[in-house]
Amino acid sequence: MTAILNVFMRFFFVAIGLILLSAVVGLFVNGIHPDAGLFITQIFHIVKSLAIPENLTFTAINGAEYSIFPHFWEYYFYSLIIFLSSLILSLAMGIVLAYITSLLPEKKIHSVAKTVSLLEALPDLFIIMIIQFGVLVYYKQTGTLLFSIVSLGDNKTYIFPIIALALIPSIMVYKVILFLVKEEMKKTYVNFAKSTGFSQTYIFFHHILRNITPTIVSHSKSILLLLLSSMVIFEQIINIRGIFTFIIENPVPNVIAFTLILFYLPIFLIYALITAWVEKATAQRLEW
Amino acid sequence: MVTDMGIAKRLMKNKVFLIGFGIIGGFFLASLCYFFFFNDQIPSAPLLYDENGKPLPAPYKGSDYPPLGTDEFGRNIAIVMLVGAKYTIGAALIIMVLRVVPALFFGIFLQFFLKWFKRPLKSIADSINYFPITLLAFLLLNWVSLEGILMQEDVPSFGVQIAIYICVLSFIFIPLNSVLIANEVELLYSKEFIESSRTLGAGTWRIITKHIWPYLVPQLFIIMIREFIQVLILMAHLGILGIFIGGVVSKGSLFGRNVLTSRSSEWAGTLGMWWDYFWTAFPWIAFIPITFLTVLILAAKAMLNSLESVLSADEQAKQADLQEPEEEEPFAQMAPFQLLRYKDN
Repeated sequence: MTAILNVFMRFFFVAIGLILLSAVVGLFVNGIHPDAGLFITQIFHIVKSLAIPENLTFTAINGAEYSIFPHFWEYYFYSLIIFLSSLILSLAMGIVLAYITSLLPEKKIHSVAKTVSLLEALPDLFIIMIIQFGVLVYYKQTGTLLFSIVSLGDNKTYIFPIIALALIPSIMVYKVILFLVKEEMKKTYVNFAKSTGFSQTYIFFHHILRNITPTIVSHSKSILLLLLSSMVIFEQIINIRGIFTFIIENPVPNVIAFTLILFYLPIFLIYALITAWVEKATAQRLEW
Repeated sequence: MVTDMGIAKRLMKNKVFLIGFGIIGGFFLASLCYFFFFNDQIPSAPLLYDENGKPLPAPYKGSDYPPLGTDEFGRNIAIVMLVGAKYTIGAALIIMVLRVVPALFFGIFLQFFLKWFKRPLKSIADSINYFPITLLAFLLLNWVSLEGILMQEDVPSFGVQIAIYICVLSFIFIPLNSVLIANEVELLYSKEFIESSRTLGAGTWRIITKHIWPYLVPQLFIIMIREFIQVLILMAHLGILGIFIGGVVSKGSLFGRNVLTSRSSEWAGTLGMWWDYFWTAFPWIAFIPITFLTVLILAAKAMLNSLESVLSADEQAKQADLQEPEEEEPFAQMAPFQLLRYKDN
C-alpha cells in the first residue's frame, strides 16, 4: 500500500514542479515581473484550470478566446506517437547493435566502445541536417523520395522524425548495454553456458539480456530526457504540429502546465508498470 | 608508478586530451586576438562578376571567395565564425561555471545541514526534467527575442541581454546540480577513511576541506565538461528558436530584404539564422555553423573521455597498491564448477 502511495506521491511532486515552473514562465511575459503576488495568482489560476479544463483557452489572431479542445488531442497524440515510437526504436536498435558487437573479439569491442562514446556527443541538429541532406541528394539523383523530410499541412510525416529522434538515444542505449554486457560476460554462468554448448545468440538473448534489464530500465530515464529535449527542436525544424509547437504558439502558463502534465502521464504510467514488473520478477527495487 | 604523477601532469601527456583542449583554446584565443587587433571588423566581399562581366549576387561560394564564401550581405563567413567563436565559447564557459560553482556550495550545505530537505528537493528538481529544458529556456527568454521586443518600448542593451541570457541558462540548472553534488558528497562520506577520521574527532569543516574536497575536485571537472557540452547544445537549440546571445537586429540586405541578424554573430545564433539556407540554392551555408559547433562539442567530449580514463586508471592504480598482487585466482573465490583455462597470450 505504501509502495502505491509512494508512486503517486512521485507523480504529485512532478506535477507540483511543473505547475511552479509554468507559473515562473508566467512572470517572464513582456519583460521580467518578479512579483510574488502575480506568482501566487498564476499558481491559483493554473490549479483552477486543471480542475476545470474549460478554462484552458488560447487567443486566436482575431483576439477571440477559444477552448483548446478538441483541437488539442490531435497535437497531443501526434507528439505521443512519435515520442513513444522513437523510445522503443532506440531501445531496440541499441540492443541489436550491442548483440552484433558482442560477437566481435574482445579487443575490437574496446575500440568500438571508444568510438561510440565520441559519437554519442554529436549534436542532434547535426544528425538531422545530415539525414535531410542525404535524403535530398538521393532524391535529386534517383527521383525517389525515401520519406518526406518536412511535414506539410495535413500530410503528417512519421518515419523521418522517429528515426532522426531515435538515433542519438540509440547510441546511448548501445553504449550502456555494451558496457553491461562486457561486465556480464566475465561472470561464471556465461562461461558455464558456453561450455554446455549454448550458442552465443541464445546466451545473449536468454540470459545476459534478462539479467541486465533492470539496469537498462534505470538508465533509460536519461534517454527519455534527451528525447524530450530534442523533440522540441525537431518539431520546429520538421514542422510537426505537436504539443511543443502548440506550447510555443500559446505560451500561457495554464496551457503549458496542463500539456506537460498530460504528456508526463503516459511516461509515468509506463515506468510505474515496468518498475512493478521488474520488482516482481527479480525482487529488485528500481530507483527512477 | 602511475600514482606518483599528478592528474594534471598525466593529462598533459594524453594526446586526445591535448587535441580537444587545443581546438577549444585555439578558437578562443584566435577570436580574442582578432578582437584586439582588428576590433571585430568583418570584411565584405566586393561585388563579384561572372565571365561575361555581369555582377553576381551574394552569397558567394567558397571557391569564388575563399575560404568559406560569404553570406547574403557579402560578409566573409570565415571571419564571421572567427568573431563569433569567443562569444560562443566564452558564454558556454561562464554558464558552465555558474551552473556548477553555486551548486557546489548548495550541494555541500544540503548534504550536511539540510539533509531532510534533500528528498523533496530531489523530487521537485526532478520535474524540471519533464519540462524540456529547451522549451523552458525559450519561454523564459522569448521576450528578449525580436517578437518580444516588438511588444515593448525599451529594448534592453547589448550587455543586459547577454547577462539575462547567461543567468537564465545557468540558474535553471542549479537545483538539479546541487542534488547531484550532494549525492556525490554522500557517496564519499560513506567511505571508510572518513569514518575513521570522524572517530578520531575531526569536525565537519575538516572533513569537508581535507577529505571530501580532494576527491570532489576531479568529479567537478567531469561535471563541468559535461555541462559545457550541454550548454552548447542548448544554445544551438535556442538559436533555431530565434534566441541569440545579445539579441537580434534587423538588417537590410543588398537587395532590400530584411533579415534577422545575431548582434554578436556567435555560432549558435548564426546556426539559427542560416538554417533556412538549407532549402535554398546555397545549402552549404547552413552546414558551416553546425559543423563548427560539432567540432567544438567533439573536442569537449574528447577531453571528457580522456579525463575519465585517466581518473579510472588512477583509481585502479590506487586499489592495486592497496592489495597484494595476486598471481592466480585463489581457489576460495572460484565457483564450484569453474572451468580452468590456460592464460591466453
